[in-house]
Amino acid sequence: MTEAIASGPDPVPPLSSGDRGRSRVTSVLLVLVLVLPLGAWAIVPVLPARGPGLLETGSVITGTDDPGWELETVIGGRRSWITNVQVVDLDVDGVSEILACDAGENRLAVCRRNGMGWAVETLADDLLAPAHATLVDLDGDADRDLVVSLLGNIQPDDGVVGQVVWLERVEEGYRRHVVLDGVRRVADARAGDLDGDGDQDLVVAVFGYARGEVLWLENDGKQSFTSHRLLSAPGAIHVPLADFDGDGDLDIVTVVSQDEEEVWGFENLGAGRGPERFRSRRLWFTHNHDLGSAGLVPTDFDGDGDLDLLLPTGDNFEYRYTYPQPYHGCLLIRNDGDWTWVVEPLADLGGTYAAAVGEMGIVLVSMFNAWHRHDAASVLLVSPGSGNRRLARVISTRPSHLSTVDCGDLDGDGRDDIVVGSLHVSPPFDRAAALSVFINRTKHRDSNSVRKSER
Amino acid sequence: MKRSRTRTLLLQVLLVGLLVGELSVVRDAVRWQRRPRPQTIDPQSLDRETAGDIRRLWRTAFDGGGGDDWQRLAECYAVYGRFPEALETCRQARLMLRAGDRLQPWRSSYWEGLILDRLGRPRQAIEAFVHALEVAPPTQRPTLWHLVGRNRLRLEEVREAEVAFEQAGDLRVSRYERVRIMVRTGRAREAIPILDKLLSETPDCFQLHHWKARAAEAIGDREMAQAHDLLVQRTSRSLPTDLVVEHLLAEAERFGFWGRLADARRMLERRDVGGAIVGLRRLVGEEAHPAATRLLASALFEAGQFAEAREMLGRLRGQAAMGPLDWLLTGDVLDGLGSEHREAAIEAWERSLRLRPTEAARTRLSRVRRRPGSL
Repeated sequence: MTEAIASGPDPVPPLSSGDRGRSRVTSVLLVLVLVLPLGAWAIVPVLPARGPGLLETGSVITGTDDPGWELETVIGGRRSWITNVQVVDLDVDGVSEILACDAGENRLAVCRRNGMGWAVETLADDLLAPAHATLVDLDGDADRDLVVSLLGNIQPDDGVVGQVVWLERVEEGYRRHVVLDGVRRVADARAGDLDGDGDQDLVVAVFGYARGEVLWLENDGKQSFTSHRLLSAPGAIHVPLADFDGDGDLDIVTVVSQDEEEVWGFENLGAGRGPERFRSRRLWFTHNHDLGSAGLVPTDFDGDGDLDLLLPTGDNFEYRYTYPQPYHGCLLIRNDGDWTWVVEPLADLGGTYAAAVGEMGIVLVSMFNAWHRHDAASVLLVSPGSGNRRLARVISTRPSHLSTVDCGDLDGDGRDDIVVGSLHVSPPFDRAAALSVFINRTKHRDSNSVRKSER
Repeated sequence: MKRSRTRTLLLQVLLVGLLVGELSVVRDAVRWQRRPRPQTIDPQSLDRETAGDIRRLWRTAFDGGGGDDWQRLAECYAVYGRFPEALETCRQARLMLRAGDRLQPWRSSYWEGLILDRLGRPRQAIEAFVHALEVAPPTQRPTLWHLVGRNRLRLEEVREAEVAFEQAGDLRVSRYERVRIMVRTGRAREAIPILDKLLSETPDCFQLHHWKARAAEAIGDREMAQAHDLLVQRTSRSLPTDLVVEHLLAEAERFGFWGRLADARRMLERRDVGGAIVGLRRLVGEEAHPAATRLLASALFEAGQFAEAREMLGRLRGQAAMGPLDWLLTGDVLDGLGSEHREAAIEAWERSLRLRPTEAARTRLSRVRRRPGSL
């Protein structure tokens, strides 16, 4: 058999090593040709897309809610325009209430805490976009009247739409008197005896929009007022009165926002009529038109017996979708006496719109943080740290869009609580409320999301 | 033997060719699968129309879109305030450029500068604007120099800002900024000739009078200061000073909610009330901005659809967004609904009048009071 095969007519020659190699190559190629598409078919669809790069998030201050501060909603609502809140004792019964300017409902409201929660009462309505209310006995009849500043339009408006309204306290409620009309949007009016004649005069911040002014209204003793212009500039927000130079009379300071970004002082000279009674001084300014000055709060920050100023910065209403800027937060304008002022940064918080002073420190609230981030801070507490350091810690990340803040004892435990109001401009409104309080339940000064105040 | 080898060789060549083809296809498939994914944002924080637009733009960019598509998405993100996402998308757009894309390098850098400006990165914004300047056509350069100047001011780099504004040449708003710097840094006398030139071009611009008054005050010319102070109140034209905001506001009308709202306004201007109503109805959802609700109420009133107009005004009340003109319209709508609503209409007009005394409210009230059987 072996022989027959060997002697057959067409014997198959044994494969040479080269042929074997070629055959292997062919087999490998065949396998690859089949496996590659099959493998690709199985693997390629599950390959992930190349992820987007890291986001540059800018100056967003973040944190978590401090359990030491118990949040209570006073007025709910996903779209509200609360422009000012104050803790006051309206009815002089030793119990504090919240006085709120509600520009959405065009009213002045008072909120009282009771065993069941909060009762909200409208003190006066049909007040077009109230921005501030000052509690004062304007007519000297030993009760508490209210002087309300009306923007006339909360939206940008350069029209003559502002007013100052005196709500005279009478037995059955309040009687309304218009004490200033025919001016642009009014953001603030404060009362004090500026000319030493024993009655209450007024200082008015006519914010306007592109045009504005600061006026003092001289009371003739019968609540008829003569207007004197102290400054012509758009964007005056607050006009606090106090004896800033310690000479025994009331001086005026104001912050001018919009493009100007200036702080002005008006020294009461103790004599002179009309505008001549005051010497105006620019106390500070910045070339940074984008700073966003948002208010002016007098306080003796350094405990040296004179009043310093807190300047919250973060108002960027110009564009509806505002983002936190690195210079947003709070500046301290320290009073060094003799109308000399030194400015230093106090804390950072994007979109800061208001500041208030409580026993626990300085509370800042943000209106324009990056609200689509759920850890973006809305309330920040700045308290003294060791040495010259200050500690800033997040109290809460909700509610969002906070435009106003005040501190005071609302639950009668002798400790300051915090009240905040919201002004909703652009969404998201997923953690919104119109008016809220944080009841102080802290046991000790434990820190939450501590950040050193650095700029 | 030789033939067999040739056949094997041919087969191998064929297989290699096939393999190369397959590899190429697989490489393209992997590239496609691993293509960059644009940044996403949570649609919950947006209204329906804007979320829909963003979804479409995102899909176009992701599904093989080129530089133009990525840039469009970046611009949409920017005008809706999502600046971190816009920045990353804008930068990626430059890497995705392909033949036929129309995105010009200067425009890409310009947008990057705008986004960095709003993101609070003035120094990086300056870099982007300077890069744009290097490649921009001459017509765009003054604006870019102006934006450099504004960002220098944000950094308190006043001298550099002034130089940038000078580079902007005759751009009115840049000359205005130079004036402001001069007055605020104690160089009021230098500012006056520039102010005079600006005032000769636009004598009715109140900001110019304001700064002329301040300059005059600074040099001790009280008479001139008082004259221009008076003119601040008597003139009416405003000079837009924030070009970034102006730009973003204008560009917002290309996308989403603000785009549809602008379309509706244009339709109303063309008296296409029906078209405007159809467009606005789509906009007015549960979380609609009061501007859309207000415009729809007004369009419905114009179309005589009083019942729906009343519903929209009710919704506006729910949003705590009622101004004197809204109460005026409420009165008009109720009046349109018939005499049984007359008292409610009068109440609404009176409310409008209490909020802001206007001739329109007074006229309506006196008209209904003259009607027989009215109050």
